[in-house]
Amino acid sequence: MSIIEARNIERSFDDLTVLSGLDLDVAKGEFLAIVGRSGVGKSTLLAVLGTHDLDHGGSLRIADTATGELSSSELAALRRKYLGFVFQDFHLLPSLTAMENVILPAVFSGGTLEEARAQAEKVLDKLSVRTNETPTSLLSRGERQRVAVARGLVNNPSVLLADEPSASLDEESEKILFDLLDDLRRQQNFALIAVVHSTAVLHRADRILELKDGILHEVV
Amino acid sequence: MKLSEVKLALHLWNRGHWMDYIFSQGMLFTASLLLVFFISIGLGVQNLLDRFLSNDLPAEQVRVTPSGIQAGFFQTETGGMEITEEIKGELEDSPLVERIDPQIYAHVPALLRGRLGGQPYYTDITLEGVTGEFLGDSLLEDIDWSYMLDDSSSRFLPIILSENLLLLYNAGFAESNNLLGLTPEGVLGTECIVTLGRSSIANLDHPPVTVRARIEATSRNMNLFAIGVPFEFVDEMNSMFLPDDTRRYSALVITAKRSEDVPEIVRIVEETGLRAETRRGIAQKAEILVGAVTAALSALAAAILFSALSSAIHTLVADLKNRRFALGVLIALGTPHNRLAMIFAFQILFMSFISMVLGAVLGCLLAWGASSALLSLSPVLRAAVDSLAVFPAGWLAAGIGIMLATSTGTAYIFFGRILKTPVTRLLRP
Repeated sequence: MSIIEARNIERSFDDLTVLSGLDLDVAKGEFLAIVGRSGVGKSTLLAVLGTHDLDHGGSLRIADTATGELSSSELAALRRKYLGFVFQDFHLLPSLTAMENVILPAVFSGGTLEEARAQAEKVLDKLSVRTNETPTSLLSRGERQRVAVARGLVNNPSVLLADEPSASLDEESEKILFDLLDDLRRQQNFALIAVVHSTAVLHRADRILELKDGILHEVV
Repeated sequence: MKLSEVKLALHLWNRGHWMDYIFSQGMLFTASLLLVFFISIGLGVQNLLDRFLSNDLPAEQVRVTPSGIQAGFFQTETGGMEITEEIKGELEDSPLVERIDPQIYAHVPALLRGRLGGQPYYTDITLEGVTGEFLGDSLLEDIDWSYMLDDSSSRFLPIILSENLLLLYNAGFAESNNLLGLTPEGVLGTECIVTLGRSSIANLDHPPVTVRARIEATSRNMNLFAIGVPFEFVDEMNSMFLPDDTRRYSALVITAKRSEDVPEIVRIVEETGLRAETRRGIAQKAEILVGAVTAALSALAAAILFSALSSAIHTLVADLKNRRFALGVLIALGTPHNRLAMIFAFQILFMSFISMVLGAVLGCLLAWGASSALLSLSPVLRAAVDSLAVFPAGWLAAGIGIMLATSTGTAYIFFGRILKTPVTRLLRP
């Protein structure tokens, strides 16, 4: 069964059509690499799949739930339960430690703090992130990236959406990051949908889809 | 959501950002301080004016006095009207009048002796006879307000002391002689000796009468130099010392059937050439003036407080807008809008509460300090009131509560609007 089912997705910005009748099925545990020219709509696609962008046509089902019929709080609950995100620029709170950044969404969502802390420790440990009192503003870019990944995975999601997670990382850091993601994906069986450019990363993907003319084309 | 979780969320969210709120919270603190200070001092000054300028007359009473200046045995000849039995009778016949309580001077020189603060004293006095109704029901329960000369061997002559006389003593005599001031409560129960027919400047041929006396009450309605004693005792002394004199009253306290009739009674009294005094007068005007100034200053402080609250909300709104990426991440990762709005509204509530309460407490302390300083400078003020700062705690707490509830509600609506911004827009560079 697919964890994500997108049918006939359409998204336009004024006169510019970005997504045009796009269909997509994503299975659990799958690594889907999205490629395409700059400005073609890859980030928009991730925003639609992550239920951040709701102004689209067509239908989207996540874990067999039609997202178009959900209220704001139901959507928030759906995101919390099934989806994780890694942003291109991390968007960490620089004055907080790695641990605090990872548990912050759980703290704001009213989840059990002890559980969140235990889960965060586990994920940060797997990602080899130091859990000391160092604010993330003092961490290296590679470390910050791993903190952002840990934050995306802390709720044990079914799908991790990542927008160019290895952008501006050197090759070695990129390899370390995706090695870790591969390991975690096997252990936790989450689907990874990532916008990537690196050839080395593309080789790890189960499927490579190119976004072109508003729809996805499978790259063989 | 537990309070500890809200506190942790705000602790993490605001780390490194608390200083952003210093200015707006400082404004809130200052405005709260000024509001409490103005209100408490304003009410205190009103209280003082009331004590100094007003009398105890209820709204339905008129106090009638002769037009000439008269102080018992001493009387200036101004050609003015005197209150005779005939005038009293005419007023009693008026359909507007419910009751008349007469007061009468002892037209006999008198001397009062006693000990005050361990020191002997004596002074010439004037006795004024008043009826039991003058004391009021609450005092009548405790005081036997009847006395004739025959009682002198078994009882003290009950005395009402003029509070204005106390003020005069405190402001003039006590201050210049480094003596302690006297409060109305402090003189109650003081015992002394009253001699009629003798004074330091006059003696009558009739043998003097001496009785033991005790101060049982104080009043602001007594004439300045007069000491109030039971009416029948003064009547008895006047008849004994001056059997040929006709009875003349020092004052009549008229109780109207309806308070609306008071102006008409005043008119009738003034037509006879007598003076009429009611609660309406300079005291009321002064109270209105002070009340208006207090209200204006309090309104100004309240306006500053309102601006400060708006500023506090604006600061947090600006902070949220500046940190829209972080907000976007929280929403993207599944935090509901309403929970975020509630947490940030709680932040406004918490910070504003701390600032306003601290400001109010300091305002109270400053008002108390100013009051203490003024009272220490003036024995007159000290004798008149216990404090120049009045703290209507219930009203202040209710005011702060309403302000906090309004600002928190407003903040919740504002934050709710910001947080409804699509996540994609919050996360857009």
